[in-house]
Amino acid sequence: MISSERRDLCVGLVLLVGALFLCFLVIPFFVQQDSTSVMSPRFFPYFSAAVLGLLSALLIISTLISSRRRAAEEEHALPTEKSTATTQRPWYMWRTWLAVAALCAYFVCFDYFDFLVVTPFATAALMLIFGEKKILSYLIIAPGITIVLYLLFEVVLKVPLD
Amino acid sequence: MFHDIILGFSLILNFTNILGIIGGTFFGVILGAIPGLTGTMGMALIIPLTYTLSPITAFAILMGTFKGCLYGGSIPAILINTPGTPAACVTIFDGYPLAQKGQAGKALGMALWASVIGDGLSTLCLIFFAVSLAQVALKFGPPEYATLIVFSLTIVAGVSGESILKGLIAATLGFLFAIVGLDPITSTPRFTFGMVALFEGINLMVMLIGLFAVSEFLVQTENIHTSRKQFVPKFKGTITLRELIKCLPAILKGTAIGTVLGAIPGLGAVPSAFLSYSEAQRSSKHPEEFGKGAIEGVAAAEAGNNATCGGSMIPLLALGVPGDVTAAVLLGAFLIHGLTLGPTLFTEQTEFVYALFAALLVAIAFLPIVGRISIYFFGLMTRVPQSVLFPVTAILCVVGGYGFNSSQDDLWLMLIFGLIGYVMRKIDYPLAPFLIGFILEPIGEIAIRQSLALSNGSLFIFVTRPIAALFLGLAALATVVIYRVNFKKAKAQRASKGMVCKT
Repeated sequence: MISSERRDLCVGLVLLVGALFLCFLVIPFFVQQDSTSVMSPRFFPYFSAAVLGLLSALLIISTLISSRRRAAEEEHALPTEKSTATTQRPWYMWRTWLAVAALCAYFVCFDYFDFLVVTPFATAALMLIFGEKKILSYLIIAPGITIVLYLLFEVVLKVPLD
Repeated sequence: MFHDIILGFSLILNFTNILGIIGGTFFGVILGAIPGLTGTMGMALIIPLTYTLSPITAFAILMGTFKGCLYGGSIPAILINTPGTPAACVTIFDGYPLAQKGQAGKALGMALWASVIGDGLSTLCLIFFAVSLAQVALKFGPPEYATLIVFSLTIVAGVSGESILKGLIAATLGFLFAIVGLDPITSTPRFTFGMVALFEGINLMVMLIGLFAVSEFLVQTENIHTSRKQFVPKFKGTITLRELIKCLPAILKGTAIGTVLGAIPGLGAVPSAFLSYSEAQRSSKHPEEFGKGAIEGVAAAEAGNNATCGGSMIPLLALGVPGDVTAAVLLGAFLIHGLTLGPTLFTEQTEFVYALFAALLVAIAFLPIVGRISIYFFGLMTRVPQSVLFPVTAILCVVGGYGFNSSQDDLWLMLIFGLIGYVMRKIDYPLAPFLIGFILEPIGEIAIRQSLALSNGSLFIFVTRPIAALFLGLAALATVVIYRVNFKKAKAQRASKGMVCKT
């Protein structure tokens, strides 16, 4: 089984489990019943969860079928035509997760500190993650974009940022 | 009528009004181009500034702003994969891939001309057919909305790419997320987990910014210092007359769809843009190119989007019923200036009505100039290095996301959708169907439940009403066509593999 097929199978299984989880645990406890309307508030959640479960099952079945079909075809195929495993980038790309962490830190600090204080540091941190090398860029862009956004939203558009 | 139109132009064509239209259009384009700021917000901000102006000048500025906002949303959609307005999310599907191929100028040019043509033609429909079209819009009740949404769901197959199954799964996930919030009929909480912040559901723009912009930002972090060529949208390519003529059928169909759907209260520009895109793909000679940088896709999306401007004004002026949220804000402006909307407006305020029509046409005439200037300035963004562009875009998204409700919860939601979008892109699940499911679920659910309430639970209401039955028939036909096309494609693929094995 090639990696994309394995991936589809895993995703299908996760979604199927998720659909069952929704049907039997989440909806009964987190969607209140109401008998006053013609269609219950639980109808669409159950309908969507059921469709998700059905489609996930179809995905699992179709992946297994296509995997077996491909394996059968490769038995008769020339060596050059056999599919090679696709190389997948690892999920734990540290820069990506560092960027997520930087955004989370920005959101938390947004609550405690002023926009004008936090945003230059957040901008600089993200530029650092993206590999910006010029010091001048940090000194100009980070505070510059903060001031521009502050003027645009707070002063011109009267949209509060604090 | 022609005498009234000439009178309208004579009232509009003075220095103050023209300046107001140009200023309003510029303001609208800038607002539309900044993710997180919408046309509705722009109109709401401009209205207080027009208190002391005459009604004609006030609405000249407002119409310019309205037009500018509708077009402006396509600029960031094409350049940085971030829709400036909700309806511009469809422009992303082909606009951003075009920019990735170094054809950002071509995509922006087509977006501009499709907007001008779509908006212009729908405004002409407004001028000549407002009252008649309003009568058709009146025939739309909950069953018609419900079946229209069912028909719209067939779009999912068109934007799913190679795997319709994955597209359907993505659409279902979008459905599930759209359910979050209070039940629209009984107001009981659904999937809120006790959090008051989720009672109003998930804000569409917050979801859009997260799903497209934040996920793109996260994807781009993988491209730093790798052997893969870093993407810098090259601002090359201009639209030629030949390309514009080639896309004219898509633009005209999009205009018709946008004008009709814009006239139906409550639908808005997003379903129009989706349906227009879907129709263009269906009737294209090369439907496989859609989603990979087909210029027709940009044309259809923008025409469908912008044509709702004229369409949404039809029920507003003829019946006093706003076609969408922005038109609802305009309704407030009308009331502030002491104008009563409805059929009597055309008889008692004829001068004002035709001055308004003239303002709309003049705004469209200036849009190409304003648009070209805006494209030039926003195009300068393409010279900014990635290491600055993406971090600044991320900060802009955060500020834009926060600006809606001044709520930190929206920021976390935006990040969550960013991660969902990132994961979906990693596992090859298309984002467009997710968006379709998210947008159509609330409209469809309310319509279906209202219909069943009207019919005391009987499903026959969907087949006994002619327009509803028509949409159901179209949905069934579309499903059969899609199934046959895919069956033939799969058969042809198996046949070609079989021939390779035999040889």
